[in-house]
Amino acid sequence: LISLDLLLLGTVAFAVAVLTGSWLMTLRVPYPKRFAVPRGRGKTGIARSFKLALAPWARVESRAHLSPEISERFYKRSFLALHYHFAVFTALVLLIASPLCKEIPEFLAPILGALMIFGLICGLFLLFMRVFNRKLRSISIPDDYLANIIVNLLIVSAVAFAFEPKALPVFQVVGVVLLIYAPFGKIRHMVFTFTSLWFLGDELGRVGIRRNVKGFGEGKR
Amino acid sequence: MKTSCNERIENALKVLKQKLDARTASFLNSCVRCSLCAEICHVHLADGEIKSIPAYKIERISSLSRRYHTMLGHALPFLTHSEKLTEERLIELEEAVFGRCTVCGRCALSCPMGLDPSAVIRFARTVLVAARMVPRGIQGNIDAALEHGNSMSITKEDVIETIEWLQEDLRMTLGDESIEIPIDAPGKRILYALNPRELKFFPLSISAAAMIFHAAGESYTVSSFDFDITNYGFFAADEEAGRKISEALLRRAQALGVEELILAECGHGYRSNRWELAEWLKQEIPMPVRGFVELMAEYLRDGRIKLDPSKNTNKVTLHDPCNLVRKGGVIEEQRYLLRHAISDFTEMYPNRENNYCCGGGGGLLAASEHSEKRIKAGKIKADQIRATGAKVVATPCHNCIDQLLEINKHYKLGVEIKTVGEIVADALVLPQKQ
Repeated sequence: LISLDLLLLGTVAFAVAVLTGSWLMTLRVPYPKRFAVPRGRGKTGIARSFKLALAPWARVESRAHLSPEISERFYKRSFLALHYHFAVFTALVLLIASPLCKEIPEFLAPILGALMIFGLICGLFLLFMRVFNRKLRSISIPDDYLANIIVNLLIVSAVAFAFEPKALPVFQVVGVVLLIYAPFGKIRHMVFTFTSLWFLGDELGRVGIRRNVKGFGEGKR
Repeated sequence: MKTSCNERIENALKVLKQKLDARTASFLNSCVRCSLCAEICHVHLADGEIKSIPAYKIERISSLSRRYHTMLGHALPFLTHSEKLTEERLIELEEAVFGRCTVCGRCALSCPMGLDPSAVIRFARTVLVAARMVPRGIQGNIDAALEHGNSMSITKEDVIETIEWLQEDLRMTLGDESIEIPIDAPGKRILYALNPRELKFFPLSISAAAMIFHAAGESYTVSSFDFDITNYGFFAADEEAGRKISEALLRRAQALGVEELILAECGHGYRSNRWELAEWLKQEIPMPVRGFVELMAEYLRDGRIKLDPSKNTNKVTLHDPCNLVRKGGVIEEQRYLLRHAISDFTEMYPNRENNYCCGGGGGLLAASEHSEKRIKAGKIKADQIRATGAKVVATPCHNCIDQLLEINKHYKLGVEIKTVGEIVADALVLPQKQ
C-alpha cells in the first residue's frame, strides 16, 4: 500500500508537470500587446468571465432566444455538467489526500458519498446523451467517451472508498490511470479553460461588451 | 497564378504549424464538444444540420491541429480523431468556415469553457488563405481593393461625378445652395470614409450624411480615391491584404490632414479600421477612428443637431450588426439616436450584443457559392423581425442591409430597410436659412 501511495504521488507530480508544461508551451508566445484604443476595460471582462463561469445562470443573457425551450435546454445541460464537476473535484481531492487520509470520517462519508453519487448520475446521463443524442454523437470523438468513462470510474471508486476504506487500492489505481491519461486527452480542458476564459474576457472587456457603465446619453439597459 | 495541390497543402501546413497563437491554441484545447453552442448559432438553428454546429465547424480545424500539435494526436490519431491535412480536408474546412459560419461570435458569449469559436474560425480561414482556397467572390473583392483602391473598382471620375450629382440634388430638394459635399478638401476636421456600395447602389445614405453634416455645421470632406471602408481581407482573415487595404484609407486621411477618420455605416468596416488596423500595424492609430453612428449621437447629445420624432411615425426596429456591436462595442449610440428620431421604436429580442447575425456576415454575401446557405441562415433574423411587427428595420451596416433586403424578399417580411443615418436625416430639423 505504501508503494501505491508513492506511485499515486508520483503520478500526481507527473500529471501536474505535463499539464503545466503543455500549458506553458502552448502559451509560450507571449500574449500579444494590443494597440487599438480600448472602449472598455479588459480587467472588467476577465472578472466577469470568472464569475461563476459554469453556473447555469452565468450567461443567461446570451442564452436568451425566441424559443423558451432552447433556453431551458441550456439550464438542464449546465445543471448536469455543474454537478458532475462537483463530484469529479470531490473525488480528486479525496484521491490526492488519500496517502495521508486513508479513511473518511464517519460523519463526512454519507455527505460526500451522496454528492458524488448525484454527480455520477449526472455524468452517466451526460454519457448516455452523448451516445443517444444525434447531435452530440455526431460531434463526439472517441476521446470524449473515454474521458467520461475513466472519470465515472474514478467517482465510483471514490464512493466505494468513502463508505469502505478497503476500496482504497482500487480507488488509487483508477486515479493513477486517470492522472496518466489526463494531460494528453480531453481532460486537458481543466487547465486550458481558464486561459480561454481569460482571453475571451479580456477581449470582450476591451471592446466594451462586458462593462460596468451605463449606456450612451439617456440609453438604459 | 495557379498553385499545385501539393504546394497548397504545404503552404497551409506551414500556417497551421506556425501561425497558431496562444489565444487560439488555448481555445482549441478547451472545447469539450458539449454542443451548447448549437443552440446559439443562427446557422444551425435555421438549417438544423449537424455540419452547422459551431463545435463541428471548430472540429474541422481542431482535428488537423491535434495531428500536428499534440502528442496523443500524433501517436493515437484514432482516439483523438486527428487527421492529416489533405485536399479533402481543406475542401471540408472551406465549406465549414466560409459556407456555414458568419464569424458573428455569438457562440462565444455562451460557451461555458470561455472558447471564442470565431477566433478559431478566423485561424482556419488563415490556413485557407495560404492554401489559396478563399471563395472566389471574396478574393475578387480583395484583388479589386488592392488594385483599384476600392472593392468595387469605382474610378475617381465616377466618385466625383456621383458626389457632385448628389450635391446638386440635395441643393434642389432642400432649396439651399449653401449645402456642399467637399471632395478631396485638405485641412478639414474629418474625413468621411465611404462604403463603395453607397456610391453604386445606396447614394441616399451619402445624401443623408451630407444633410446631417450640414445641420451640425461640420467641417468635413470625402475622398475621391482610397475612400473604401470595406475590407474583404479582414473577412478572409488575410492579414497582409487586410492591412494594406485599411492602411491605404488611413494614409489618405493623413494626407488630407484631417483630425479624425469617420467611417460610414458598415459593421466590418468599423471592426477592421477601428480595431484590427492597429493590431495589423502593431501601433496605435495616430488619429481617432469612429463610426458615423457615434458621431451622430455626439451631435445630438451636444445639441448640434435637432430631431423631430413626429417625422418618422412608422414602427421601427433595430438590427445590431455583429461587427459593430458584439465585436465593436457600439451598442447604445444607435438606440439613443433612434429614440429621438422616431415615435415608435421597438427592440428585437434578443438584442444588443446578444442579437442574432443577419446571416450575411463573414463575407458570405460575396461568396455566391454559399448563397443558398446564407438565405437559409437568415431565417432566424426574419423571425425576429416579424415578431416585432415593425414596418421599418434600421441597421447601421450596409453589408447587413444587403442581406436584410434579400431575406425581406425571400421570407416576405414586407418591411423597409434603412440605415440609422437615413432615419436621422428624415427627422432632422434643419437650421433656418439666413
